Amino acid sequence: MKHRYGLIVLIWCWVSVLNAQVILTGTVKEEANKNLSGAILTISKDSVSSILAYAISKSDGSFKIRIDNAPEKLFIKASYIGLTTFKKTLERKSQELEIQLRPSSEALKEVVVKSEIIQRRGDTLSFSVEAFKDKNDRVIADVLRKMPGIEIKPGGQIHYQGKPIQKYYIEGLDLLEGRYSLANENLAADAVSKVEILENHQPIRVLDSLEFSERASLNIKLKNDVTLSGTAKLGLGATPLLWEANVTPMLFNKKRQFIASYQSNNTGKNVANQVRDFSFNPEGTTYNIAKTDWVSLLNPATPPFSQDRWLDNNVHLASANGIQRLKSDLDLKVNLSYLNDYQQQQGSTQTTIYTPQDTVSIAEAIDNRLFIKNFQGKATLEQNTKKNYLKNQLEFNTYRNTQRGMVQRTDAEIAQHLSTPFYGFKNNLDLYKTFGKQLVRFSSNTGFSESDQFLKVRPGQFEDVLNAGNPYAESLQNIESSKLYTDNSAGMTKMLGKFTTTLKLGFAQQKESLKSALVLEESDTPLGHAFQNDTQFHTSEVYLQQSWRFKNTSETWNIRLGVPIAFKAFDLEGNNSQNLDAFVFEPSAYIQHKVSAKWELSVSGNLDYNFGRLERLYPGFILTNYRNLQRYNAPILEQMAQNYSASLNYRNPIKRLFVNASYSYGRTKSNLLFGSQIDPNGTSILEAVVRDNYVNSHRFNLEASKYLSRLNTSVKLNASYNISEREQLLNAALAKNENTNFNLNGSLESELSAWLSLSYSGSLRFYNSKLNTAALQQLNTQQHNAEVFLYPWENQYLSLGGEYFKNSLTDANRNYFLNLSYQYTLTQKKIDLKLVWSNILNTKNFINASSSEYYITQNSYVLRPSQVLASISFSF
Amino acid sequence: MKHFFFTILLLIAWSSIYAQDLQQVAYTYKATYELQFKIDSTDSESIKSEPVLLYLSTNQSRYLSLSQQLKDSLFSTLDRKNRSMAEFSRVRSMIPKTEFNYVIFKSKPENKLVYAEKIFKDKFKYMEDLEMRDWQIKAETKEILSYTAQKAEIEFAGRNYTAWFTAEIPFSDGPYKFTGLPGLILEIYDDQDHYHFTLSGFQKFSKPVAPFLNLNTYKTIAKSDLLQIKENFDEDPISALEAAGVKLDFANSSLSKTQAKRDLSNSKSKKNNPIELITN
Repeated sequence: MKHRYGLIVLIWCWVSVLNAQVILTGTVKEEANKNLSGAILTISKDSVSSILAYAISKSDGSFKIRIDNAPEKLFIKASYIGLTTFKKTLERKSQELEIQLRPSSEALKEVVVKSEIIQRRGDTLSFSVEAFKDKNDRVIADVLRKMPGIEIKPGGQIHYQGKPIQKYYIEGLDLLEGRYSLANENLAADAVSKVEILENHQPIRVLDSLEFSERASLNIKLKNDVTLSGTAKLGLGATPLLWEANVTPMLFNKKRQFIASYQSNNTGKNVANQVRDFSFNPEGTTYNIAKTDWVSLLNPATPPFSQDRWLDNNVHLASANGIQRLKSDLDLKVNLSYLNDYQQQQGSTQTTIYTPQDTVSIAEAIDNRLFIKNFQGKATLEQNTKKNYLKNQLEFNTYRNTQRGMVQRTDAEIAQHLSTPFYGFKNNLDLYKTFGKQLVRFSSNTGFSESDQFLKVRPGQFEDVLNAGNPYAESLQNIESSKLYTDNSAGMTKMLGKFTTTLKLGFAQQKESLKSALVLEESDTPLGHAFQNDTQFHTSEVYLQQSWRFKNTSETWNIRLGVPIAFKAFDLEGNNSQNLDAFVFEPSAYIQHKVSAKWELSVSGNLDYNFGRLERLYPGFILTNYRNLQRYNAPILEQMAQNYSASLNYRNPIKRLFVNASYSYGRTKSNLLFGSQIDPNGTSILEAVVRDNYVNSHRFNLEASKYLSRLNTSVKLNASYNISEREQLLNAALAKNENTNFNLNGSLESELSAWLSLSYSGSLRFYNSKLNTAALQQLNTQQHNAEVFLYPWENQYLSLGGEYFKNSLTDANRNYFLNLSYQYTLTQKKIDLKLVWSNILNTKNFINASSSEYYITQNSYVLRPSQVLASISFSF
Repeated sequence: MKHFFFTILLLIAWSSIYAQDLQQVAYTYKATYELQFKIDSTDSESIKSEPVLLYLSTNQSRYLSLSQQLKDSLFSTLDRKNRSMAEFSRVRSMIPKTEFNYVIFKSKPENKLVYAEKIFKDKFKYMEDLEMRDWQIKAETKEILSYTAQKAEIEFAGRNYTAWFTAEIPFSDGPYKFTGLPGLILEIYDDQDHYHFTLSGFQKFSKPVAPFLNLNTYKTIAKSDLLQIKENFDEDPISALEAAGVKLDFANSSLSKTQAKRDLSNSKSKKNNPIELITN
């Protein structure tokens, strides 16, 4: 066969050679006899007919054209951009030609396209929701999660390319600020047309040309101008009777948006996540209205896995949020939320405390009831134009929390009752204005908070210290605390080429007050001065902060430098009156360098000063929990901390291998040493002693991941090793404490087939503690999770998971868990039916051990019983 | 201490100025094509279209999608002159999404083409011979945008193409890797019409335009490796991101990681129709 074709070709060639094969050779030259490469030579019958043969001149200007079946006349054309075209009619014969092309100013004929394609395709650097949406996706969070580069963290925070997003806009309006989970987890995916990612987005328009933003923001584009959407979910289960409800309606148009939500459950689901604030505050929060709890119940340590498994709750959450565009660029918004939760905690702890002289063991059974009532809200006025930025935010936060607890010890039963109400208000004003190429900013932050707390313990504890060794019925710890602060600053930002420099000058004042008294029931009159506080603490500060940032064009170098200086004055009034003035210089540097495509190196170092807060400055004893009496009859704490770290990254995308190694070292110098006086009955008294001391810590970390393409499996390993050394004061003796901690984690994920996938993760932990030279008990823990996913049909899925926990202090057999979940989707009606059976083995307790420098605690926490929950959910 | 930092800063600033080494070629003409393509060969409805550009100079050319070009030029103006971020974000958000994130440089004197692509965070390139010798010239002609175009045929990377070129534009070039005809390719399509390029404009630059891309920052790897990396990323971006050191945490979310992976691979499996069916 092959031969026959070969023969035909041969014959055909021979015939054509005989007939009319013409070979033209030659060179093409430019003016100064320079050989011209890339010139196009074409042969046709005449000047108008189509091309028969062609050649392109080589680098030496030579060409060779073979024309089969050549016609009588050959029309040759040689052309090159910017040169005149050579044209000539030749006879039909092989010949050599010398062609010279002269410069020409003649331009080629143009056809102009309008570049309106960009506008036409407009606003589409965005993910089309349709492209990512699956039949099973209900709310926008389900779709977002699948978009490349976007991830949603366990608490609901959205990250884009590894960094938290800055803003979550809906149609360009920032309704929920940091509390965007409420919209993200309830807005129906069907109502959304596009998700736009604004990379390097600077939300404050004044800063646009001055401050480069590395963060992205997200904008949700809706299908309709007026959208009514939301989700509803209802679940019922046993045992005991379980419920889950969620109704979240929302209304959007261009000028006004509104989201309301009511959620309730007793299934262990933490709905507080939905109103958690992920606002990004680059300025830091030295001064704020954070809630301080002076007294507490003794809590059993919570298990280290999903809350759903152990949180015994009964929660109701209501939230209302509205935004109104008053006029162009001026928005007013109001956010309110109310949470009411009743939680129960049951467990037991066995604590062993090691002191240089003795070992103390305490066994406690705990039964706590927590009543949480939180009402918070804020009103925000924001103007965001190119020349001006104004934002004023008035915020309030109130709690009315009460707790009741019962502790059972071998020798006693102790009831506790506490109340920690809290009221806080604050106002934040930011004003930015541009002057030419510079930006001037002013900000003012003022706040006030108050909290009057009490703790009742029955029967009274610390008889030796408080009641001359006689038993008594009840002790009552009363506390009145308040805080008032104002922080004001003015600054300037300038951009000079690749450098950005910022200068800020400010002053801050804070006044805190603490009054406390410990009362024994019999006497009704407070105990002496040693158990009372009437303390005022003033902090004044003047600061000047200067920082530079540099990034080169190829982004191989990234450098940040900060040289803030501050003058701080502390004034403590009360039994422990004292002053402290300090001048602090806290330089910091961060250098990142991309050595090559695969290697990246970063180094950082900083110096920090810390000063005592009122929480560690009260001279009179406070009963902070039923077995802890605490006071700080000492000077103001001064700490100087140095931190250095280096990290090296290796990334090979071809081999799909990633390795990161890092090391950090920290050294902290303090002027105070805090020491515990531990009684044989387990009660402890904390006091501070003046003595310079150091804490040194080293941390090594190694991380690697590899994807095995052939097995569709990714493997990850992580190992870390920490050592820290410190001096410790225990029962008035000085002890040197050394802790070492070694952790090993591994995980494996595998997609065996389209309908089956597996995942596994495990960790091993070794903890070693030494007091002076005596080794304390070593603690090892291990944890393993495995899960199998089955997708038998498109609209159904089944997952079965098992967990195993073990530690070297307990008998391991009881720490097994098994969970099963099944989902069926009614594709047409967009309704999901889900059945979850958790804790199938009905494991009653989670037993865990934890340890710190000088004690080891073994915890047992009562878990949710085996439960089945069926739920139906839909979005509209 | 302060002085020390300043010295370092100065040194770094200095070295970065000298590190800028762009290929100094100026393009004099630009051809714009509309590319229509079928992303899923099994779905006749999956037709998409986007504009692609061919920048031409006497001995070099550069081919890329319009979106890619806009991205490149935006980043280069941002870095060089510190243009207003407002303008930057505004324009940036208007750039359409492209299916083609690569750039192809053809160098006639070296007889090579360079294919450069950024995949997630990594910049890669591979080199290939420019040769395309097997064109079959046909006598047929037709008019495209007032140019007289002649037909030619070729088999390339597993597809049979029909091209229409014009000798009126003496650039032996065309979109994608196509080259080697005695004039610019104005239209080219495969016999199944899965990839169809049509000229929509041809313009001369009043001032020659320099390329924005610095090819030196792209790492040379084998073509098969580049294709493998791309496939890995398309098939399973979650694992690819994780292998690149990006931490993804799905714990506690309503959707498990395996589900997310599954959903993604379903949507990606529809991209089953690359322009090169056979790669050598």
